Amino acid sequence: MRVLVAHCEIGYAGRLETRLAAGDRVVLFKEDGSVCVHALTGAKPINYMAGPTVIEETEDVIRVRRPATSETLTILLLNVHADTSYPLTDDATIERQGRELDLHALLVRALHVIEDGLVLVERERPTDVGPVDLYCRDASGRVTLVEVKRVRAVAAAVEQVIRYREQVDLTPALAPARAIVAAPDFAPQARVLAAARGVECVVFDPETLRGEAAPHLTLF
Amino acid sequence: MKIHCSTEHLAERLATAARATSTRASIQVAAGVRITATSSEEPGELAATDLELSLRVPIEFEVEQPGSAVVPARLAQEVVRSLRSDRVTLEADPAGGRVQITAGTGVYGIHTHPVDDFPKLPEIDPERVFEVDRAAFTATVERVIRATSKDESRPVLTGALLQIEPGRLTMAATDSYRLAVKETVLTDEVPEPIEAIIPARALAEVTRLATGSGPISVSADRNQIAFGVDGVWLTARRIEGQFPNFRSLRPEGFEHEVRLPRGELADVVRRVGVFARHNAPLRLGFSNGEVSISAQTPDVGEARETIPAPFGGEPFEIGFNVDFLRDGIDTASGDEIVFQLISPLRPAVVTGTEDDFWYLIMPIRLST
Repeated sequence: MRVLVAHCEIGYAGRLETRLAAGDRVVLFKEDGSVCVHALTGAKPINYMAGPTVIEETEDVIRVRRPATSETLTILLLNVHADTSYPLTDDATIERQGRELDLHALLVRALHVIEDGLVLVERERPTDVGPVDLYCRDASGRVTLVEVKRVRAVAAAVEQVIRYREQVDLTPALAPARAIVAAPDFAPQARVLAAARGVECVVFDPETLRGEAAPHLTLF
Repeated sequence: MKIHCSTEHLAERLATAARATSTRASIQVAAGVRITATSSEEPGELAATDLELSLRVPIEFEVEQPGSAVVPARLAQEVVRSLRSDRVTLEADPAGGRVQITAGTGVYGIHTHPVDDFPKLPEIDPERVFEVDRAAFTATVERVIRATSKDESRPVLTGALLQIEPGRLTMAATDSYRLAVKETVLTDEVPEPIEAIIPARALAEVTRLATGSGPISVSADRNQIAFGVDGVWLTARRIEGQFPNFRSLRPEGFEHEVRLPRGELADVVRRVGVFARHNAPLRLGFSNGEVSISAQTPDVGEARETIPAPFGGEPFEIGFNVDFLRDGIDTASGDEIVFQLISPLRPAVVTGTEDDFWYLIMPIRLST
């Protein structure tokens, strides 16, 4: 991995043509030929080119070409602050947690996090307007539909569970059903809509839930 | 090399040796069995290794020309097993690279691996070999091996700790959720104590080999441990690392001790356990004069049975992984199972009534 910190101008030619006037940037040359140009702020690179690439370098110009697409990134070096290469190794792959289905599984094992006495009847129960994440009965036996969001719930999540409730309420034996949205956080509009339409909002902490739902104690 | 032998004998010996072969493509020669023939007066040898475990299997040959060859284990097994002729001849091409198997009118040519590429097998120092009682050893392995871990990220737990000292053989295995310990009295002489963590696979292979009678030979050095059974030598690499101090894990005192009939308990756990799926716990509810065993899995159903139990304390409920509990009940001996309990979140001990075996099991935290 080469890390170049430089005051530079950057031009791109390919699907379109762009020019970035002079400024201080960090340029990463990765092992697979990918090149990323980072500005002083922002999480994403302001310019990048996916590998494999061909890099041609003269004293003050670095030309990165991507033969597959004939794109070219030209870095005009005006002042080099640092230019270092590191022999790095990294075989790890990212482990993703918190997928919605994972959360369903965790919640199923700790339904009291949503409400005491809640009993799961079925996961992903199909309705004509889509599957209900958790189809439950509450302590009084009333049908309770739970829509689970792994990130902040917006108004669309509330509307979704309302549609499910309308479908379930079409069956007199099941009506009136309760509707719950469970999420780590709620957008203000989602709360307003939920309050207006009789949908309950339950906030849970995924981290706590993981602790709650990982009940296997160990000896050491 | 040119040898003649009984087809049945060769097939049986090949099957034994082939258990140590590796199917990993990166070490092609490890998928082979080395056949070594010296003379008709001495037994020949089939050898195989996957670099972790190796097997040397003696075999009776009539040797016309001594030599050796490495044949692909699976192919050679398939061919020899399907032969109808009683006798078989194996002849290596002098130029190398091929072995011809002849039986009756059938002629089969097998491409071989280079003998020089075959890994060097660990030598067994006859000075260090001693014997242990076969029944005692295999019974000990069978009682603890289920508690070994399958998690390769913690290699120490994928094996069992073997301690052999004068008068006593101890084996312990744990996957961190449960711990099985068996201590067995040894009458054999032990020249020097051994403490080693042995891969579970190697122990399983030793018990598989040890179906006959007579003692098991044991020899250990710093890196390897070897077991000899009826002339077959199995060598395994010792697992490096520190095995948990298992004796300190056993609580010193318990709040409750409950004896339950083993057969009835095992049956109930098996029946009710059908409903403990997807990591759902098996619940044991102790109350006055009985224990209720129940399980519930969302989307599946629930079950509950009750067994009379000599319990007189404050009622409480404790949850266990059904498979782990079943293993404990199955491996304890005697007509009764003794549960020693402290509280719903502290480890419980399961023992039998007949020998020195104990099984420590952590409960599952019950949410409601």
